[in-house]
Amino acid sequence: MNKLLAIAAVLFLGLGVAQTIPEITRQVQANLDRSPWEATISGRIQLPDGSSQEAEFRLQVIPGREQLARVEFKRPAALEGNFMVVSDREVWNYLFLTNQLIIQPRARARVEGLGINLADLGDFHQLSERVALRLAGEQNSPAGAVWRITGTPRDATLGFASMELLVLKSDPRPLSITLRDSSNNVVSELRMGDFRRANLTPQMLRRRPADAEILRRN
Amino acid sequence: MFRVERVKHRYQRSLRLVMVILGLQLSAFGLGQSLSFGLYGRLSPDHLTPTLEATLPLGTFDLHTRFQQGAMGVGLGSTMGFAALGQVSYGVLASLGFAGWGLQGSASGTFGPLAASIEALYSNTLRSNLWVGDQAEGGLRLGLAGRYRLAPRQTLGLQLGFSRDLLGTPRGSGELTYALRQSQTYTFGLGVDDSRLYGLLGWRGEIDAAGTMLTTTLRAGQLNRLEAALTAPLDPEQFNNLKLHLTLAYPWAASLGVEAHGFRADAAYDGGFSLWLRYRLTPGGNE
Repeated sequence: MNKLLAIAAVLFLGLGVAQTIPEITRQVQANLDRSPWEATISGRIQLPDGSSQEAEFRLQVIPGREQLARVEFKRPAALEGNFMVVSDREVWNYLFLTNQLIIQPRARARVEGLGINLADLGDFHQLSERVALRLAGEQNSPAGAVWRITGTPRDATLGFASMELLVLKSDPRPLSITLRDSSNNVVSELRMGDFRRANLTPQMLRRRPADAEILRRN
Repeated sequence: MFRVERVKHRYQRSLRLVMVILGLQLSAFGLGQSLSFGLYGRLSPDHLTPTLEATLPLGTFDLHTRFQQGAMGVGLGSTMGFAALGQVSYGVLASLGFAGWGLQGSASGTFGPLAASIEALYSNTLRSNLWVGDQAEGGLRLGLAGRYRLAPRQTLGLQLGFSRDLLGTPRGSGELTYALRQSQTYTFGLGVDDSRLYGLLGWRGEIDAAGTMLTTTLRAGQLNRLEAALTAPLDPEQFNNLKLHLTLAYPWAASLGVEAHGFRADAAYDGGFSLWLRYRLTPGGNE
């Protein structure tokens, strides 16, 4: 009986701890870092001219010491075939229209050009470093119970005033992300679906047309 | 004669000074982006010259310098990226040599479904006198090119050109293309070059599982030219490719280029034979 009480106490304490942002961040990161995965991200994004567009991307991530992420654009139609590859050292941007690959050092690259840093969805720890997160509660979603997390950027140049994240509790990973401006208007709203573990290799994520023109930006 | 010798001497001294500064810059940075050594030879007219090209990062710019016997060029270029949405590149280059001088500027950009580029060149001598890699034409040349994505896999292209050679003779050109991109790309087009009409057919695609790309473009009619480029990945991580370029034209002209591991050989025939051998050093890998 005492043993059962002790286990119940530990579980209760464990649940209590899981309610904190650092613990949720740790759980999400541990889950995303477990093995390579891919997912489809769809919703609306804001373009630099202020207009909003329906968008769909394929996100592929190889976690680990040398994390690698590839974002392939499916929509809008004007960007289909474009992709980004983000590593610790470099950011690649491939432009389908001109068959060019622009390579920039990661430290100087602004990957937030689309109003959201897509690579952050695969690096939850980095997201929590750039945005001050707060647990706003729990709710139910079609995928199951979720944590609702709100955040404000630590860096004013990130291009949004507030963020709302839904994180799946049973398989800790982001389900959706909503960015709002200072007038509380939605600037970007993205959902992560078709999440699956995949046997990805760095060669697969770095694949590109052999004849692409390479442009290096200092 | 004495004055010419003195000017020549002063020029050579300036050239040597620039070379020394360049050398210091290279050793100071220790990471000059690239340095190419070359040797160019040509029969009729008989001509042999070493060539040197260097590209150095200078803040957000790249400094380009090039030297050959009797001429040098200095230029600046830069690229701005907008993540997956597009990019803008621009550059200027000034050349000076015993034969004359030249200036050129170019800008290109891609944003969403639209890509455009513009270039303007002027020289008071044949540009091949200022740099062996340039065409044997002088005077003014203006070029405008645009591409528009009609649909995700369909692209419309337009190229317009105007030139006025050293004798003041004007020349115009225009080319309209339609490209259908699936796993392979098919291009169809029509063009006019100095009142010569031609049709255009193009094909681009991967020809093996390793990702070897072949691009061919045939222009036929009153102007006839076949261009083919083959790029085979040797070491994808290091951007090492084997590149082959072939151009055949009628009236007879031809060029053949081979490039791998920083080595490049270009042979050409345009009434006279030429051969240009180059080796490029690129700290951090070739591309």
